[in-house]
Amino acid sequence: MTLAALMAVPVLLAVLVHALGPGGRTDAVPERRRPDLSGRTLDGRAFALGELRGHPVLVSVWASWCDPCRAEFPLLAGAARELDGVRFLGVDLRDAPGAARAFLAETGAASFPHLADPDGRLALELGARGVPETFLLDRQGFIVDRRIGALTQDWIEGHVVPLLTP
Amino acid sequence: MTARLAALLLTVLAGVALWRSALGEPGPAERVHEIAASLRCPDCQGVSAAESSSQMALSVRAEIERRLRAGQSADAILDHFRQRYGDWIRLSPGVDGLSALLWILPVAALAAALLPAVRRRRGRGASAVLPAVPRPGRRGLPAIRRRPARRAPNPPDAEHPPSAGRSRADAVPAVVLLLLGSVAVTGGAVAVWASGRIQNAPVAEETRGGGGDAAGRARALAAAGDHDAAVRAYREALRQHPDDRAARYLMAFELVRSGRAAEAVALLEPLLATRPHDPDLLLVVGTAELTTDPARGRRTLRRFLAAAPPGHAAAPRIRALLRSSRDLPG
Repeated sequence: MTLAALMAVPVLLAVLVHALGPGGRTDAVPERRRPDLSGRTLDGRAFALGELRGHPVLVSVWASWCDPCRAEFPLLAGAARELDGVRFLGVDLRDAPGAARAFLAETGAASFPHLADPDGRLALELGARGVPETFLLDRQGFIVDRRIGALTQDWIEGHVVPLLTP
Repeated sequence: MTARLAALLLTVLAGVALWRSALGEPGPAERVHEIAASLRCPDCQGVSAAESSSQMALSVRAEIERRLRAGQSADAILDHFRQRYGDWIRLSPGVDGLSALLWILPVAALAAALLPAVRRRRGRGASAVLPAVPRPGRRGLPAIRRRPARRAPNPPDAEHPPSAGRSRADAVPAVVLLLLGSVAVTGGAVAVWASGRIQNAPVAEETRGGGGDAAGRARALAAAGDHDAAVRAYREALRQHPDDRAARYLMAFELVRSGRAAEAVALLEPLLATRPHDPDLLLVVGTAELTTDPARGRRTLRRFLAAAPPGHAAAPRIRALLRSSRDLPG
């Protein structure tokens, strides 16, 4: 092994152990709360979550550098087209704006707003554990469900669709 | 003598405390670190937000700094995170009734254990200061108080066997000690069991992980330094879950650590065609290639730097490594 490789291995160890650590997590229930999300969208508009009050909202925390996000976004974009009563919001975590916009164009998810979250403040406001993660908010804006990891059609049908019945 | 020693020790301790306080208040970075060290990293396992370089840990530290600048107290900041993540986020959770009891019980058991010894010591100390020959009683004192001094001592085990009184006196604390000890041990076991249940409680919608027991075993083997066995376990994990990308990367990493960099490159290179911008993949492949083909490794690591999101933990060190490796042979 070369000297450079010897120098790189500890870097890898530090990064991989954290980045690729195993899944099983504690999920102590936080307080029932209404997250306060506001800021600039990726296309530069001012936006606040409060504008969507009165509708169930699916908030997706994602990043262009996250492969599972790339895999789940076509499903998310399809759900945004099909579920009329649900509003969708993206939170783009610690991303490069250019890469994020290219990601949206590529995955067809530019039809709903995406808040830029360059310092992770919005993800923390939601209580997110990482990307991808999805939060389901009721009509009053309270978090009623969450999905850690990529979305599935079953999860949408089992958790989101029931919120549409009055 | 003991009292003088204790006083001396206390003086030294007080001096150290004063000296430490004289060093001044911690700076902003230290305060951020201090608070982050008491919070879990949201997207890691078992490390604090101060230790990790993950994206969420970076976010936690940035948020702490922002709130400190806004003049919030450490307690208010910790409460902010607790409201959003629950008590899980605290690495050292607050003391509630049960946990307070579990802390107090062993201390109480220890106190109960020491109590008879202290009593005996005080008893012996008291008798040691009495004169060997009892002083004659003053006039007017009840006869019963004077009688033992004049009376010839009874044989030790005739009326009052010496151990009888002491064993009765010791019996109560001993029983208390036994009871408290049992409760403390049981309580501790319950706490450990309960904490294990909480820690291992699966998130209902958790989708991460994969590889099941084999991946867990591989991680344990890697942590123990048995890289070859870790590789075998990762191989098994990948047989169970071929799409477990984390297991594939970690297996490649273990191959690099066990001196089989070429195998690591062969394992991951096909993935580069479909994931040319995956920073973690480029990082592992580039590191492996530094051994098999250093020039190519440096090119791959430069690609990693181009693809890495802002704040990626490895980026600064890889950048430094590439700068320094220009002068290295190979």
